[in-house]
Amino acid sequence: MDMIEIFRYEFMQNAVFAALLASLACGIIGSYVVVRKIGFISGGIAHSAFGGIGIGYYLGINPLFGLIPFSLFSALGIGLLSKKTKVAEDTAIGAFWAAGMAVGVLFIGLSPGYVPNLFSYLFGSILTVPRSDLLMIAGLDLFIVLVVFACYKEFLAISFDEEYAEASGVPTMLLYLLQLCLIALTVVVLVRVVGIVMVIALLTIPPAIARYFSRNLLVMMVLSSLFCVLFTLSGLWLSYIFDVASGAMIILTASVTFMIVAAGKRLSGNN
Amino acid sequence: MNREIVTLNNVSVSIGGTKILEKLSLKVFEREFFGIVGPNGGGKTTLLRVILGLQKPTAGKVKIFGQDPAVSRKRIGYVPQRLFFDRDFPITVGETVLMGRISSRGLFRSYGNEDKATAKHALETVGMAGLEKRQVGGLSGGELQRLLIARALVGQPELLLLDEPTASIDPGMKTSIYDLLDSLVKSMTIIMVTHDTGTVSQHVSRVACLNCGLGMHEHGSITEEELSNMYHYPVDIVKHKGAG
Repeated sequence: MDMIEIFRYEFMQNAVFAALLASLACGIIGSYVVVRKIGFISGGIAHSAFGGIGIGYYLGINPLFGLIPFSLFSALGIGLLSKKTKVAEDTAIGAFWAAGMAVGVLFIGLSPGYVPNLFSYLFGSILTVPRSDLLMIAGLDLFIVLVVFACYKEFLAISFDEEYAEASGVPTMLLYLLQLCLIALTVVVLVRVVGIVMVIALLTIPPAIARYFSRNLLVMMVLSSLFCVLFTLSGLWLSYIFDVASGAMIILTASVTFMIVAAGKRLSGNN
Repeated sequence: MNREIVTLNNVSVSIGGTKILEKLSLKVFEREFFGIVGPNGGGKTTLLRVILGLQKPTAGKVKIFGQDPAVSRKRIGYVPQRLFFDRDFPITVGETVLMGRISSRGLFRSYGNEDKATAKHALETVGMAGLEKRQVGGLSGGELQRLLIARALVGQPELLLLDEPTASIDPGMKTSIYDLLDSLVKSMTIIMVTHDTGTVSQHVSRVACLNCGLGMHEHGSITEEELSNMYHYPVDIVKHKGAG
């Protein structure tokens, strides 16, 4: 079967749409994650979101509907615990990371009978994304783009120089929590593509590569999204050829490219 | 005498049980170039944060332009320490300067032509005209410092606060930054925190030594003994303009 042929299948079309939609959110929000160096926080939000998936299964609803409120809750929890109390940031992240996973394991255990597609939420399964999830992903994408468009200059200011932004009267804490919530929603968007365990790679690798070629944040966002499209589609294609897990192949494609680019930049002397 | 711009009355600040500032009183007048020297951890940056309204004092009164610091914040230009920046951050010179207009723009509104014109003018003032498209990561230390001053100027402040603007900058560049400040003080009040005990006295009108408490020097010079008490290591003597 050649490449054109397989696009006749609805699951393949859905997979491509999911990759394109996920790449948009991933490139924009991932750029903030990389320039603010909050990759570990994002990993914490992603993993704790497993609790939402467990609750979704337990309640018998689409796990993504359990995922959205739960990941937002974790994002706010980590943000408030680390900034408003004396708890160190990495401690707050670690606590939420494990507690969320524990909630997920607990509720999945309590769910009656067989738990379908559990692996697809953990490790991604872009080939099984249904049309209904695509609509939800598109809606979240739209929301993320609108918020970033509205708060672009404020987000730039708090990312570059938080204290200066605060001194200028920008509500930095509120905007930081909003950024964490956008990360949570991006996790939801990416879960179907690479799974919560590997979300963090897709949030950091494309922007990290894009940063080498970007003079400002906007360029970085556009390039990150394009890199993300490149990795998801080529990963998807490679997984089809070798008949292996798509999520893992996407992440490996991204990681290997990153290593090559980073090494190349180092060797050419302008890292 | 000119009107009071900054008035601190018996201000104390403790953070996490540690006394950073204790019963500090200070008056800075209009068009003054006020220098603050003192050892690391002596509370210099905290004092600037109090003036900006970012740090609430545990005791005492703070008035800026006769008002609460949170209210007068928009009239203050702030130049934070340069060394804290991530040099890899993808941002251009033009975008950084525009950030200084953020308080005059509401949320959800992007910068307009007026903002851009003011930004251009501020870059001209610090001698960086035409460099808008340059990436901040490629600037030299002195250029970055002047960029941060431009960002503060773009909000058209009446009071300029600088936190160690001459730290690790080569001597030639240092002189050009002092020359810039000397010309700026004709139209605004400047408070500068510095380690530069040797040069600062040739430019400032008054200088204070800060180590938890404040040692003020109106028209005399600080003795070497006093400075070494403050710093716990030998430093240059500070002499003041007009003090001979």
